[in-house]
Amino acid sequence: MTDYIGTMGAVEIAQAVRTGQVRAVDVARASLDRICSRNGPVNAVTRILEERALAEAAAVEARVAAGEDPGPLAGVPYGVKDLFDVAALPTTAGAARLRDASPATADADVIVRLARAGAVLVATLNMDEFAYGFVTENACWGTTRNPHDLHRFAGGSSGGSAAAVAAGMVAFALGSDTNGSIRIPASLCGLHGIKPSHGSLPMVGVYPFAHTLDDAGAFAGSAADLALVDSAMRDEAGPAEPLTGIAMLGGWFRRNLSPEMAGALVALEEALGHPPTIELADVAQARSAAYLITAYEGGAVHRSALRTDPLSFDPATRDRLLAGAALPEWVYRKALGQRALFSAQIDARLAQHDVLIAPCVFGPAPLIDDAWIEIDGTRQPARANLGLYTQPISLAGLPVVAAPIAAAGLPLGIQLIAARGRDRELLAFAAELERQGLTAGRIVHSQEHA
Amino acid sequence: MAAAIRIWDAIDGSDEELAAEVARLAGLPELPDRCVPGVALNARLLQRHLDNLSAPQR
Repeated sequence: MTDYIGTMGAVEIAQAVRTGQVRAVDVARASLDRICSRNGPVNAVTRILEERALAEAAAVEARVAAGEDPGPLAGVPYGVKDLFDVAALPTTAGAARLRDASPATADADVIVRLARAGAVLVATLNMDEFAYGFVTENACWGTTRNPHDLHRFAGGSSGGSAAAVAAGMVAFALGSDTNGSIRIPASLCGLHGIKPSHGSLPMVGVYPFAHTLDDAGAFAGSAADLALVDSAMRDEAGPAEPLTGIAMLGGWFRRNLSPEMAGALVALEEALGHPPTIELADVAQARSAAYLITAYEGGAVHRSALRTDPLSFDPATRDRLLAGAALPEWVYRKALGQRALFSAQIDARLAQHDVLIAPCVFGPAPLIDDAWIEIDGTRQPARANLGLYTQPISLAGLPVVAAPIAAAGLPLGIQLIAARGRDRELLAFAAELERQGLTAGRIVHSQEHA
Repeated sequence: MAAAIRIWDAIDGSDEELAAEVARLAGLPELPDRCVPGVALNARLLQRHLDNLSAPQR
């Protein structure tokens, strides 16, 4: 079987299928084969959708054969985090208690859009239960491991999505990002990922976590692939002008970094011609606000089930949700007030600079068996602190692209942050960084995992 | 250190007391024993985040 996936990105696959150079069914079979041969140690996939994938691929082929436009993502295989509704399957949201839930009656809206664009759904993907975590350690489906080093976390909560792309099983994947759940695994797995402007993509058929922060978004190897997928989900096409005015975020965003990340940011600054560095005030308070808003909204979603059957939850999420379910509304209101202040501050900064650049994570993926990081001189659990740089940014509902820095060693990612509604221009900026060789996605091509 | 604005009356109490208060506020008829340490830990963490939110800003 020709090795389409991993060596060809979404843009190349779609082009080859559209022009009849390759058959969509062959690409789907190649993706399914890659899952069979590679998923074992990585543990990214929760369900393989072979029948659906081959039927969707056959439908694309029929359109090509009939001389019809098969769509911009013709025959491109992809997977979805296990919180998107897939018709005829239970939506588990990573929860054992939902494994036998009633099947979804329809696909999530974003999946409908991708199907219309010719994409082929091949798998559902692992996640932290109810998206409440940064490492994809799941009591029911196990831990997803980083394809670049199987001793390390893939990140979370969309860790299965990132690992499936990084291991070359699918050409792109959908995830969701509330406090960093796309940006963190994209960074740790060497991929591009996007948390779009809040509310700009439909959330119908996406299991909610914290509704004022949740967004669906995608992972891909290259910025070009990510832009193609994003445009298909928006029903928008055509080129966008890249943003140009850059500033680096300092202060909070330059503290507690690993030597690798600190060095990579210095090198990036130099390559970008030393753009100005600016500081945001009250970032620690913003992070706390995000934490409290998430706890309150997440607790409210699950309060009823927690009352009747608390032990059916993953212990890693249960106790957090329980505490959140008991938070009084005045705490939530206070956090929302802080959110408004911080959002206004960052909006004002984005009126002066097109793109703000910050790290996604403190450094490379933590070891699964020794997940600690140094924060302000004390040893802290990495699991709870991987969102140090993403959580505050989430508050403002801005589009953020996670972009992998082109550097040796384990993957490191940066956040590219723009004003609301400038998603496509931001993606064009990410493509420009990629063109300059400053960022580069990294897919693990070898059968041998590290 | 005592919290400036308390979310939980039992914040300075034992894990059992704090978890029991959280369970009551969340509407649980009873909290399984195995949940007590984690619920108390997370309740204290939420209090720390509120303390942080209430700290003087610049």
